[in-house]
Amino acid sequence: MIRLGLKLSARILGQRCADMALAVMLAFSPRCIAQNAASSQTAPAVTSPASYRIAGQVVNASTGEAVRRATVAALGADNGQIVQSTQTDAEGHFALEHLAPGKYPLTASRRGFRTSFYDEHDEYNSAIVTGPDQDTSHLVFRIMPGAVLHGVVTGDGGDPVENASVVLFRREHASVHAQGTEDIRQSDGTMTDDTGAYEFINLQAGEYFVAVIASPWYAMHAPVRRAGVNEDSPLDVAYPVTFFDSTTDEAAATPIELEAGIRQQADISLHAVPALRLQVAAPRKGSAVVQPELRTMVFGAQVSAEGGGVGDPMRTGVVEFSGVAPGRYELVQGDPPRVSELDAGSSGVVDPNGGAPAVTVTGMLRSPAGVAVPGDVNVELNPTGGHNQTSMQVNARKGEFRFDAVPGGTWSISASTQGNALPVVAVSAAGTVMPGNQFAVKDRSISIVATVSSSLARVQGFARTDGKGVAGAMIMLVPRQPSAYRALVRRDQSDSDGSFSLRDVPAGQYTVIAILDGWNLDWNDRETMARYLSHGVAVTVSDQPGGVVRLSESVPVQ
Amino acid sequence: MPRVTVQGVVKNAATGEPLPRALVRIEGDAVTGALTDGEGRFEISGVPLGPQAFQVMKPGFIDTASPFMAPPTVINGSSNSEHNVYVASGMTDLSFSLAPTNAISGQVELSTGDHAQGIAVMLLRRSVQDGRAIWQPVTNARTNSDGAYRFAGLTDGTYAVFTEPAMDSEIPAFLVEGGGEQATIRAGYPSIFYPDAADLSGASRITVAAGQQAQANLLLTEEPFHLVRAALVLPHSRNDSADAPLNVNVSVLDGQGHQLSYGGQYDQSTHSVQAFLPDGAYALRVTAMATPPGPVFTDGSRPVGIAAPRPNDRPDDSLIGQVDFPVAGQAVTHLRIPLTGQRSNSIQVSVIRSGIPPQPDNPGAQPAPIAVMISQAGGSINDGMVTSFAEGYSTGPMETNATTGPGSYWVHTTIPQKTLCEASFTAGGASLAREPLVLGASGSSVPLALTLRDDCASLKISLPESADVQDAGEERYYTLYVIPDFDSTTDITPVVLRPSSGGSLTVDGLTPGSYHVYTFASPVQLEYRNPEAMAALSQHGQTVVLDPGGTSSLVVEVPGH
Repeated sequence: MIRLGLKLSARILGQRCADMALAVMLAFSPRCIAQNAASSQTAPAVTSPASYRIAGQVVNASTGEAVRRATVAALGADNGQIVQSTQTDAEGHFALEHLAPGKYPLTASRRGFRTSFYDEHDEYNSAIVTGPDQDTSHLVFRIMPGAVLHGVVTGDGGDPVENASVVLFRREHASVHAQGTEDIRQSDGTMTDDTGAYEFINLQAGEYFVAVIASPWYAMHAPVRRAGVNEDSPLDVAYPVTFFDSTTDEAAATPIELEAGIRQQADISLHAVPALRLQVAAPRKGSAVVQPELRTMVFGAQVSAEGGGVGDPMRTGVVEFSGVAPGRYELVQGDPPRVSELDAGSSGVVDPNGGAPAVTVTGMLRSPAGVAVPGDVNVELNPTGGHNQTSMQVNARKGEFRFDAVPGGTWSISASTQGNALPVVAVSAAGTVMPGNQFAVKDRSISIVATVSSSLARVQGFARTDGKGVAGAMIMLVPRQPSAYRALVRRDQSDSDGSFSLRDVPAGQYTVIAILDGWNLDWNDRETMARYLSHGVAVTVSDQPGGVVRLSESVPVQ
Repeated sequence: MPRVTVQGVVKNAATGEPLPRALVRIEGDAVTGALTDGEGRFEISGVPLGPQAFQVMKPGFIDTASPFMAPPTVINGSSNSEHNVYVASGMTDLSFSLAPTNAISGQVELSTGDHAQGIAVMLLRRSVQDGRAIWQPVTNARTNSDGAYRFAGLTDGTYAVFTEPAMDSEIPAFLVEGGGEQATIRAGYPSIFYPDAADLSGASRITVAAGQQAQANLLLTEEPFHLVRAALVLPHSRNDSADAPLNVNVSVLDGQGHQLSYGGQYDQSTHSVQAFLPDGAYALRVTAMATPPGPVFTDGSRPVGIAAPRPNDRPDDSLIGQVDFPVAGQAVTHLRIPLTGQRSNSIQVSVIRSGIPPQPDNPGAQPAPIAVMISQAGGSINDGMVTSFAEGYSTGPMETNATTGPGSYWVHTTIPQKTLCEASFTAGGASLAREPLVLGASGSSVPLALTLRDDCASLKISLPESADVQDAGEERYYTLYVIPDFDSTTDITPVVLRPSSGGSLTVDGLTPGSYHVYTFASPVQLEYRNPEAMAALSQHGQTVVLDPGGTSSLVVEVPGH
């Protein structure tokens, strides 16, 4: 069962809503509007005489101990609403009674633990199916205590550094993310308080890195250097990006191993160094100036960006970035824009011809029938094939979109409207149609047509071994055409009776496979998954909107 | 340009002691600065002669000497306070002072013995807004994994602290399905005001000054939270579109009608609202508006999950309803909230013509409209929340916005035309400067009448010669309030007089009558609508009577620094 994305986003909005109440009051804006999350108009559970129960024990996944006073809730499978909730007793036991036959996603939560669904993997979990012949009274619901990472950021002389931006990175398994090979991902961020303290709570176990981006509170950078004025001011200083354990070298960053439920301290001291001044080309374009952008890069991700610089570019064609800390940047400059990696070590003029030229990607979103996709559609480009570029997003109107300054490399394009995916099933560039959602950018601007599928079916079936439903298996729908793998692959997790439902499936030919304990596989890599395909079940989805394809044959669990 | 070296000292305003490692910086065409040494002394070379803007800063301190800003309540990083300094050669040492900021921190404990991690704590400050003291939300924080919270960078003043209601544990779902009411067991920690009050009236005032670190610990007691469900009943005129999507805003009020920080949710599938509440007396108030239509494909289909547009829905179709109820030991699910259209009111605007020929202050240009704003009154944590109430011209009646809910509000009138000024603003004959405006259940009010007059007066205020000199060094400035001795809903903005801007200015568009003028040597937020606060000041004010259509002059008496 896949988590109901809509409901979860509504929940997050709701929390923001609560957090924003203060800001809203201060801003005199209209009060927070309740989210109309529920769009599915399911009838309330039928009051049948059936009386099934879901019962079991909640245990600490780390220690195996029973967790008392955890809240366990059975949700409606279609609407995500709470059907019933209860608290565990002193031995961690819970029982939800008098349930109608049906499918219930189960959640458990307790302060200090990471709220999770039953047997959760990535965004999937196993819903509990009640009915005749279903044993739903002996569940072991493992929940993970959240880990805490905290520390103090100090500057020279041990003074606390307030308002330092502390960015948390986590080493991810290759299976988690759909793009790239870079496996250290930004996972959270916070600011230090007046004592220099920061804290991340509710973290899952894993390997983390911490980076601090800050400026000395007393730093002063004259906008344009003048002869004779504070030539070497002791205040013209900056803090380079600093990693735990107080190194400015990303490669020397110390990983922090967090076990479930532990509280670990990671203090970081910053050292101010003379700031750099970089003169960067800002060429004129008509009556405007093409402003460069200097992006601070940490583990391949952009953590902050500074645009513009100062100076008189209309006259000189150059702007100056002052107060630049030595370190690694990505610089976008010129027209057409060029993107270069910059290891800034000294002040001076930056080569205006450095790096690779970025190009413009214009395009159209079309339905399979060739009709332009109306309305506001969010279009996203993600780097694939290992290059460290950042993702880009624009809004398409009347099906037309434009990305400026796209660096060379292979990109995947995806589209969504109001949180619903509009899968890209083919991309055509220069007259060539390629199935899937990837395309290559070289050294010149291109125009593409992305075909999105709006007729999405569900593929439903059962994962079984020896005729018995298997819960918790990873279910994959793999397109027959290898080049469409990334765009069209779908996943789910089998529910307690072995049932699954793969959503948003465009018309085409597929193979469905079921793998027990397959959650650590690099499912993004078709080669890795190829060996499972021979034991899959073939399915053809025809072009009929909103249909459900039920597999008559059960999918063998591998 | 000739340049000189400027030196001086920075002191701690609370103790008078010198402050080391404070930054003194000069903004303008030369950005330069220096840190103070161990004796609090600084020296900046290469400073151009003439007027320069100085900033003084240090973490944990605030410069409260700025005329441009009201004393801020919470400072993040540097403040924008500036000192005007006339730099001359042979200038004597400058002396600046910074006030240490205060902090309120505390430990939250839970009756269940759980770690009080992630509990939302809110900070209120007693502030003056448009001449009235109110409790204003300043900032919020969450407790860390130790259950500790901290509000730092606070200016001297009086504060109150409260916790947001917190569920014992969060379920990743908002709404309870029909039929599940009695089987849904939730517990939580009700909102409390430090030290253990249910509302602001019982809260302890925490007064901090001179760099104090105050401690405010809280003990939260777990209670059952019961499901409350209320069905929304649309007016008959709306029944045809009963399934039209609504943007629904739910607020939970206490028995006195004050907004609480409990949240409510709207369930579109059942047209009902839900909340989880501990035992007590409450009201649920709902305002609803039709959602704007979503996009449609050219082939007539719609993206998944987007409701169909309703051509009959007017965007200004605003509904309101409320139900009062107690919660006592069990779920409350039989409630109904009838929604009715919110009513707008009409403000009768009239002008008393004096026969003085009108003098358009900006000939040819369309004058800006008269604006009536209202701010929440009545002693809740939402006090001071300002909304626009009406806008219009001096000709004919003015329609008010129909989106304002019931409650009591202070009225603030802004009249941009300097040829018009307020004579009176009444609700059912009572002055709105004395009594708040009371809006009833559907937003209706007793008749409102705004009377203007066209014989407005001007007042030229000047510094005495002794204070109107521009010496080398830091410039002195004065903050003035010109306060009528009669009722007015027009807010008073303090004016700043300084020698470098001529030492005088003219306030126009004033209603003729008697005024008090108060002059201060430092920025002050005056509670000018509080008779008690003003009584304490009375001997400091100067009286001036403004004649209809006339211009008067006043040389102010300046206090010593």
